[in-house]
Amino acid sequence: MAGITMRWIVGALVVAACSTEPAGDTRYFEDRGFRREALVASLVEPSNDYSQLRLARYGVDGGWDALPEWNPPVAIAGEPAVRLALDGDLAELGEQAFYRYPVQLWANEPAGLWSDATYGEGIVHVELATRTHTAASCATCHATVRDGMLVTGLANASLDLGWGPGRLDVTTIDGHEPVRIPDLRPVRWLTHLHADATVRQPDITALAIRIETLLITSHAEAVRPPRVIALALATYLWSLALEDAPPPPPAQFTSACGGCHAGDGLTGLPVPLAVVGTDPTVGLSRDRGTGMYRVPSLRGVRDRALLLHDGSIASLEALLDPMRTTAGHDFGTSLSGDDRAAIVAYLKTL
Amino acid sequence: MKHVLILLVLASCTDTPRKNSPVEEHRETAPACAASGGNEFGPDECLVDADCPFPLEQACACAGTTFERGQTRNLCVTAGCHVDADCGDGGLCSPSVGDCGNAFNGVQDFECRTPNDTCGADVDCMQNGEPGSCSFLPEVGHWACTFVMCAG
Repeated sequence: MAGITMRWIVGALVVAACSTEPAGDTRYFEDRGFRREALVASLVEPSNDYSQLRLARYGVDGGWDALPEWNPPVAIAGEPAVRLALDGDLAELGEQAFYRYPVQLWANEPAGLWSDATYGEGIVHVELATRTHTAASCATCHATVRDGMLVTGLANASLDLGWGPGRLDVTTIDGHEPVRIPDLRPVRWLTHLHADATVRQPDITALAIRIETLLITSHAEAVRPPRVIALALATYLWSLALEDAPPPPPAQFTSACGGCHAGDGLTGLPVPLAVVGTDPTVGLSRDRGTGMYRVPSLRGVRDRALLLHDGSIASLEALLDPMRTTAGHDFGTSLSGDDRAAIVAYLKTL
Repeated sequence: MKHVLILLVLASCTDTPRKNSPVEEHRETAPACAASGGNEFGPDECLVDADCPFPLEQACACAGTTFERGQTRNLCVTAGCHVDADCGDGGLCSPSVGDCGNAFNGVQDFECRTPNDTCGADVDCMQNGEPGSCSFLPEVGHWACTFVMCAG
C-alpha cells in the first residue's frame, strides 16, 4: 500500500506541475491532521447530525481511519468481476469507480435502471465471501440515457425507490425529506454541497472527504474506500464541468435570476430558506439542515427533468409560470410572457 | 467530584450500551406466506421459497411479518440460509432488514447469526437517541448495528 500511495503522491505532484487540472492536495492521503482540518472547515452547521457523526469519527483516534479498506471484485455488463486498479490515471480511475465501485448493497433491483452496452444495467454485482451481491454505484443515480447516449453525471430521473421517479430521501427512516437526485456535471462550480448546503466546497479535498464519508456511512461504518478512490471520484466529477463561459445573459435573466445565479457556473452562495420560499423541510432537517438552500448551477439545466431541491417542478416553463401552485422560488414569475420566454430560451442554451 | 460523577452518569445514559440481546426473529422452519395482493411496486413474487427464481440462494420474505418496516408484498430476497438448521447446531437463521426507500424497506436478506456479531436485536442499536437496526453486513460477514438510509 505504501508503494501505491507514494506512486500517487508523485503522480499527483506531476499533474499539479504540468496542467491546470485539479490534482487535490496530496496531504489528503497521508496527513490525518490535514484531513481533520479540511473536514471541520467544510461543515457549515456543526450541530446537525451529519456534522456530529463526522466530527466524532473522522480523523480522530479510534475513528474511521481504523476501518479496513474495501475494494471488492465487481462485475458489470456481463464481464468477469475485477477489483479497481488503484495505480492508473486519477481521472480514469475516477470514471471506473463512478461506474463500478459499490456505493450501497441492495437486495432488490429498483425500477428505472438505465442500460448501456459498456456499463451494463445501471447496477453492479459485487463478489463477496458469502455470495454475489447487487449494489448501486454512483452511476445508478447519477447517469442516464439521453437520445441513445449515456450521460455521466446527469440525474437518473427514472429511478424510483419509492418517492417517485428521480427523488429519494438520504437522511430519514420515515422518508419525509426526499430531494431531487442532483445533476453532478456542474459540481465543480458549487460553493456548497447537498441541497441544504451542509458542506462547503472550497477545494477538491472537501469533495473527496464528502465522498469518502458517504461511502463509509453507506456501508454501515464497517469498511472504508481506499482514499485514492475518493479523490479519483472527486477529480472525475470536477472534470465533468463545462469549461467554456456561458453566453451573455439577456437583461431579463440578469434582473430576475442574476442575484443568485452568477459567474461562469451560474451559481452562488446559499440562500436563507425564507428568501427562496420553497418547502423548508429539508433546509430545517435535523440531519443536514443549515437554514439555507444551496443555489444550484444552471449549467446544463435544460437537461434536467426535475427542478428545485425537492424536484417539485418538472420544467423551466412550469418554474416561471405565474399560475403554478408549488410555493416558493417566485423569481421571474411576475414578468411578462415575452420576458419569461426570453429567460427560458437563454436557460436552454446553457 | 460530584459534577464529574454526574457527567459520567449522563454520558453513560446518552446511548444504549451495545450488547447482544437475544435474537428476536429467526426461521425455525420456512413459512408459507399468505397472498398480499401486492403493492405499488408490483405483485407478490412468491408464497414459498421454491417460488423464487433462484430458490437455493433466495428465500421468500412474507409481507408484513418482520419488524413492520412497511414491507407490503412477498419478496424474493437473498438468503445465506433458509432455516435455523442451515446454520449448524443451535444456529439461528435471521431476517436482516434495511431502510432505503419504500421499495427497499423490510427484509433484505436471511443470514446465519455468527460468533462475531456485535448486536443481537435492534434494541442494542441506539445512536444520538435514534434507533438503528441490527443487520447483517455482507461487507464484513457478520451482524452489527447500522444506521443506514439511502446513500447520498
